[in-house]
Amino acid sequence: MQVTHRLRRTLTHDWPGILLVTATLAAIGLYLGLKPVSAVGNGHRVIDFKTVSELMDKGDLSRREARWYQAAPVQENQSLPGVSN
Amino acid sequence: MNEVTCELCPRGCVIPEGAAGDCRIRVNTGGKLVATTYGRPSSIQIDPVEKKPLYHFRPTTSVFSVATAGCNLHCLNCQNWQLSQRGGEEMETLYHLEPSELVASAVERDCQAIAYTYSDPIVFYEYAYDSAALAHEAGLSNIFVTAGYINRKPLQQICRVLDASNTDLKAFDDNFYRRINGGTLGPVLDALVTQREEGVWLEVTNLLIPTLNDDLALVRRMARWIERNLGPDTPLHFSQFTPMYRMRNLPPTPIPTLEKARMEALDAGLRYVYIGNVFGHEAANTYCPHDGTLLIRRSGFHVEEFNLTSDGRCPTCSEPIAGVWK
Repeated sequence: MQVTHRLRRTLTHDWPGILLVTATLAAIGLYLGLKPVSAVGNGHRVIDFKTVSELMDKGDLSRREARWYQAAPVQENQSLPGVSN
Repeated sequence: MNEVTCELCPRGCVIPEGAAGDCRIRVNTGGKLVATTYGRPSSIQIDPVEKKPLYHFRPTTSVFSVATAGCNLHCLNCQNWQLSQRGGEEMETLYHLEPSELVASAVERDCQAIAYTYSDPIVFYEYAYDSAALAHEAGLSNIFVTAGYINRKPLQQICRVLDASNTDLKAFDDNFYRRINGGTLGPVLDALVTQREEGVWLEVTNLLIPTLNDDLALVRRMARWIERNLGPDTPLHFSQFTPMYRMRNLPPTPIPTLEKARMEALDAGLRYVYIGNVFGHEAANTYCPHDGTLLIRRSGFHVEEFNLTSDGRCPTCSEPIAGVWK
């Protein structure tokens, strides 16, 4: 009973601090959940493409075309043909 | 818009513009899929061939070993995770080594072979293929060290420039592949058979992880599959697990477990079964399957005794010993 009383008293007086901590943790969790450095989805990865492009422009990464891929199927209103290697 | 579908491995990643495949290094730039680590390895080393491990392929050969970032599996216990689970843009070291330069470097250092290894050469396929073709012209052998998670057609094509392969068979259990490695079993079995059919010298490695794939019934099924589908002369290496990366909660594989697994594999009809990475163990040696003569004695990756005849036979009973000995 003493514990319940102390708990009720803590929640009554310290609710702003508890709310702040909870909100901070939620914000951190949302940030990590929505914007990972390298996230997987639908068989691909979100990458830092800006950095990759810069490194390709500098020559530190390659622009060599890969083999064994296909462009996505052409939609009716697109004029570009699919490319098959 | 401008999506591409990669057809190199069973993942079949559909990659939007500006994104990468699951392997991290095949990137869609303007509707073109680019192998960003082509000619940009991050790991270069000279190893003895026994380290791959290849015990029946040109013993004592020095191998120029190369790898780029990326991998299409995500093994929780990966020992090369700092290379395999990163994209090229995340690497501290990116060498500039075009295929012709790679081959020239290997020749300069008196290496007799090039190994495409450490991460997985499947993901740097184009770089490996072009280098391997030039390596053959220069009289070098080509070795793949791979997990075998690749589609059949690209594998058939690259087998034309490969001489030997060590392929992981991580467990004879699809559920294990899904949970621990992020892949599936079927394509790996297919890749093993394909390499055999294409005439690549093949050795198989199985890393035994306590409580996950060390069940002897599972080992027995795996060994029987290898014996039936790849042949009894296919060397099988059992490796000891050490806590690593995201699997630090399990103990190293006890040596008796490795020994029991080896006995199961020998009982299943395989003729050459090894315990790797346990220094000084007698099961690292090669014995004649007919009369038990010690043929090759190894200490770590070093060959201390080589007793085969010049035509690859047992010196006491003339049994032909499977392998590529020259």
